[in-house]
Amino acid sequence: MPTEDATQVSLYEQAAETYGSALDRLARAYELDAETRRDLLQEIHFHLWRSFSNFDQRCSLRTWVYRVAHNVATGHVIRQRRLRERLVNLEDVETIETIPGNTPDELAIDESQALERLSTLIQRLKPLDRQIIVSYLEGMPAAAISEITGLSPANIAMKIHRIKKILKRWFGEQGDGGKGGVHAD
Amino acid sequence: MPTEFHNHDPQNLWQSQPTEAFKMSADTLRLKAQRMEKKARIAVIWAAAIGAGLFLWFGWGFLIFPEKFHSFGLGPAGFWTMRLGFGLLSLWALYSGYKAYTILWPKSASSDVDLKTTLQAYRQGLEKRRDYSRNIWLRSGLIVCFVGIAMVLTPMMVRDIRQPLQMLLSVGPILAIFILWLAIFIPQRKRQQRKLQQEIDQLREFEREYRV
Repeated sequence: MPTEDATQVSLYEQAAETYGSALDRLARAYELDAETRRDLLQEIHFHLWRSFSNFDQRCSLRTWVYRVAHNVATGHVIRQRRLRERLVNLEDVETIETIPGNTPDELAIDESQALERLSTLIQRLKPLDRQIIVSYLEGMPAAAISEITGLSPANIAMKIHRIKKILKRWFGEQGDGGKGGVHAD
Repeated sequence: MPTEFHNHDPQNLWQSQPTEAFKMSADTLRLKAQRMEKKARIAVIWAAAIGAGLFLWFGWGFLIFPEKFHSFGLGPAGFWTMRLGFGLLSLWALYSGYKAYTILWPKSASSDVDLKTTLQAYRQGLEKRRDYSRNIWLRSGLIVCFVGIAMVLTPMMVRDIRQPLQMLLSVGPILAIFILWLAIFIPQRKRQQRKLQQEIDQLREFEREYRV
């Protein structure tokens, strides 16, 4: 029978293997500076490893991993006093934001610029909305996002509707659902 | 070649961005945990050493004060106020050393970041920050420290009251800096507190209305 430490390590390895790339992207959603981002990613991995000593399978591995990762990253935002940077809600972005790239000239941009634009949008959001948009972009169903955040699936569905509208403005028609879409299950 | 912005599916774009394969080995993780604990212990030792140093220094001021009494030229009331001020400061130094220990000493290895939903964790993170800045005066014993400083300085100010220029020269600069600091610090802190409270209230309302 594996020892507790061995279970903890094997769970961590499984999580890092399965969600490693997603965690890297998640860190990008919270930190622009490459060096600080690496520190944040290390911190996320470290907390994940420590957290697996408490993993009781009450929720799925994915929910656990994302909860820990978002909580560590949100703690990072609070500690770094990023909250002072006038972060906004999705509702504010939806109603008052001017849309960069609205002119035909600016519509023609390459993938890296589009990604930069997407990152800019994410970085301007308050942590809770940031968690939802990142989960949406990862293609998670509303039920899973609800489990991670603690908000009701109905509220998540409403938020996702807003996100889609915003992305549609920023990214054109493809923003409305795209390849993955979000299932309301 | 640039492509049409319309062609970018945000989900696809997000998921296909280049990522770095990152994984920490079990040994590295254990080493990191040990390093963190070591760092926290060293910080506690430093804080305790500074606290002890200040305790001895102010305590020394408290003990040797009768011998210096005549050179200060204070009346009995001024003498006792100043002496008790030193006593208060030495107690404050002792308390801050203990406080540093309770804050910095490494906790058990288990982490509670996993047990909360992200909404709860965010709200609690903000509440922790609000409470810290709200109670910093009480928790760090800064009020006791300021009272102690005032008790040490006031008798000298009273002594020099007939020589205002000398008094202004001796305590004026410190007083000016202190007042300036208060004038900047208090409104800024209140503004921060208000903003934090607004955000916390918003999240609480959110939790009430939309919780699973």
